[in-house]
This record gives sequence, C-alpha cells and structure tokens, in this order.
Amino acid sequence: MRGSRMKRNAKTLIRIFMAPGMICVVSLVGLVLALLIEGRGDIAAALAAGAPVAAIVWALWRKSRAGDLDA
Amino acid sequence: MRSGTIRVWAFVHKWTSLISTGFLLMLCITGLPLIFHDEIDAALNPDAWRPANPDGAHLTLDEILDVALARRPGEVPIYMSFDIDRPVINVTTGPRADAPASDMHFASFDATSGDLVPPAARGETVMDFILRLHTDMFLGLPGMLFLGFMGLLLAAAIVSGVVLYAPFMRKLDFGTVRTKNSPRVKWLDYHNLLGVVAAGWLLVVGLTGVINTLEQPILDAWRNTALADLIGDLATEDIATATASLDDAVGSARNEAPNMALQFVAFPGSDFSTRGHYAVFFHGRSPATERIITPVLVDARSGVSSGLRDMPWFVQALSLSRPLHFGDYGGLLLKLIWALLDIMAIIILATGLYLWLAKPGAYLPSGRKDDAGEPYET
Repeated sequence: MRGSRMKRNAKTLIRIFMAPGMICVVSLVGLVLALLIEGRGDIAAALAAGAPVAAIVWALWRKSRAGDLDA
Repeated sequence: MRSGTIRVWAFVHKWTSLISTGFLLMLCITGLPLIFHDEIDAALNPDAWRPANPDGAHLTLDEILDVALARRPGEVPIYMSFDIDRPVINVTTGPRADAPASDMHFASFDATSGDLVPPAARGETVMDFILRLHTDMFLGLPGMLFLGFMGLLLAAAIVSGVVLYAPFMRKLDFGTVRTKNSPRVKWLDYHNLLGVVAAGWLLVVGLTGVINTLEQPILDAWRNTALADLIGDLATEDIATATASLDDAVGSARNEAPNMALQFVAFPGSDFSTRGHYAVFFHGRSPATERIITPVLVDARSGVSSGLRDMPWFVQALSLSRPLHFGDYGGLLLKLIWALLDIMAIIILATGLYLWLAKPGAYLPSGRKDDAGEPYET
C-alpha cells in the first residue's frame, strides 16, 4: 500500500536523522550560548558546541571495542 | 527516495564539492592558526609597554586632547579611540577635520601620565599574511567575493550531502564504520559520519564566511545611506568649533548608553560625524554585542546629546558574523573545540576528494555494489 510505505519511509528517516539532528541542535545551541553568556556557563556552552567531536570519539571507541570483541 | 532523485542530489553534491574543495581546503588550513590569532600575536609580538602609574588616576579626555594638540600645533582633532586591554588613548589629528587619511597623524598616549606611547611593531607579520590569504587571496574585493561564492557552493554541498546521507544509512546504524570491506567503504563511512555530525557547524561557518566577504559593500552601504542620512538631517553650514568639554560630551552620551563601553569619538566635520556634533561610538560588553557599535551624537557647542542611533540590521548581522566565523569569541576551550571541528572539516574534504578519485566498485567484485558505497534505494 502506498500509505503504509510512506509511513515506513517517514519512520526510517526519523531513525536515520534522530542522532545527527540532536547533535546538530546541541552544537548550534552551544555556539549561540557561548556568544550570549560569559563566566562559567561559557565552558558548558563550549562543550555543547563540541557535540560533533564527542560523537566521533564515541564512534571510534565503539569501533575499537567491536574490533576487540572480534579478536 | 527514487534513484532519479538520488542521482540529481549526487550530481549537485559532486560538482559543488569538486569546484570548491581546493579553495575550502586552503580556507580550513589557514583558518586553523587564525582561531588562535590572539595567542599567536601575543607570543610573536610581546607588548613590553607598561603605564607610568598603573594604579594612578587617569587624566581626563580634555587633558589628553590638550597634550595631543600641543604636540601638533595648528592641527585639529579628528578621532579619539581607546585601547581595550591597556590604559592607552589614541588621538588622530590633521590640518582639517575632513583631511584625507594620508594627511592624518596618529599618536598614542598613556592615560595615567599623558606620555607618548611608542607605536607597536608593525609590518607584515605571519598572521597578517595568513589572514590576507584567508580573506581575499591578495586579490582585494574580487578575491573576497570569489571566496564568498565558494562558501555558497559549500552550503549547497552540505545540504546535498545531508540529503544523500539518508539512502546510504537505510540499513546501517548511526556511527557505523565498516572497516572490513575495503578502504573506500571505510572512508565513505567516515566521510558520511563526520559530514553529518559537523553539518550544522559547517553551515554556520560557511554562511557567516559568505556574509564576511560582503563586509566592504555592507560598510559602504551603511556610510552612504544610514550614516549619510543621519549626518544630512543634522547638517550645518560650517564645521563647528567644539566649545563643549569632551568629557562632558562623552558623559552625556554615556547616559544614553549606560551599559556600553566607549569605543571612539569622531570630532565635528570628520567622516564619521556631522559638522556640528561629536559622534561618540559605544560597543556592547558581551561577546555577542562587543562588535555591535552604536553612535550617540552630542552637540559640539552645547554638549547636549541628540540621542542614540542603532546600527542598521545589516551592519549588526555583519558584526555577529565575524565571531561566529572565526570562533575567537569564547575561551580557550571553545577555540580548541573550533580547531577540532576545523580538522574534521579538513578530513571531510580530503575523504571526499579520495572517494571521487577511487571510483565505486573499483575494489569489490560485481554484485556487491551496495558495499562499495552505492546508496540504497528507499
């Protein structure tokens, strides 16, 4: 059915873009907050801006762990 | 997504990337040291100057102006500006308030003593060279606008890349990197992963970069329209002789902008003021507002302020684009994260180039196209 296929596609798209979308939002909020606030909040904002870096570190860690399990 | 649609997006991604990759690589590599320009400049040109009375009271602006004019007999004041991180006041004088820049004289004074401050070592530094290469490739406005166009191509490459991410990832979990298949598949997965997580940051840096390339036209438009209107409204026949105290004038301007920091004063008849007013320019104190300048006009005879004038939106957008592009507005942590994101961008560009050179299917037997990096049809 056309309708159910569209529903399935929408679900697939949500699954694919959920994680990258969240990372993008957190990162952009961090960038803007770092502009607006000063003091201690600066560090939290910078860390939020670094969400993409954290995602890459997580992916590399997961890969190396999978490698260990294989061996 | 239908295969025809995928092909169109793939075409956009391939050509926008191919045209711009070389220039974007140059921008990312020269941009890396520019993130730390404050630290590098301070290390390369240490400032040995110290104020005469570090804890002493500051001279008034009128006193500094008298000292400056005594050194330049027959000249009139044009601009007075204030260093941010040291008690130094700079005074620009000239034969007339509307003298061309070549006839102007610039001197810096110690605000605690009125002594002359020796000019900082100038000349072409390494950072100046990198900044020029990054901004306009030594080609002036055409170079700047060309790099702005490369920024637009980058935006198109990012959007098409995000669209293409979906068919590639239909059967894969987020963060998957397939290392066992072939180098091409491995680097494709890295390219997709790095690209999709850095897409937001890349778009911000790319689009603010495009706005920055329009700096000169934006400032020209401001001077020719908004500031010209303002000056025209208040035009008088002759350049007024400033009889009001400069300190009083700045004081009454400060009442209009109580939470802002003083940036510079333009004297009557100069390019940035009217013939009858001091134009007192303030900037904000937070990272978001410190580059947004607001002028207050003060009558040079009576010392009465004629109110605050907000900068037009397009100049404010430019002011915000600079920090968001260079990443130099937060602390060292933000700069380090900016540098890591920049390195990610370099890897995305390099892997993209590699993926184009190593055509799909070159490493794998036929029938396993999916693993060779062809998108799945959804």
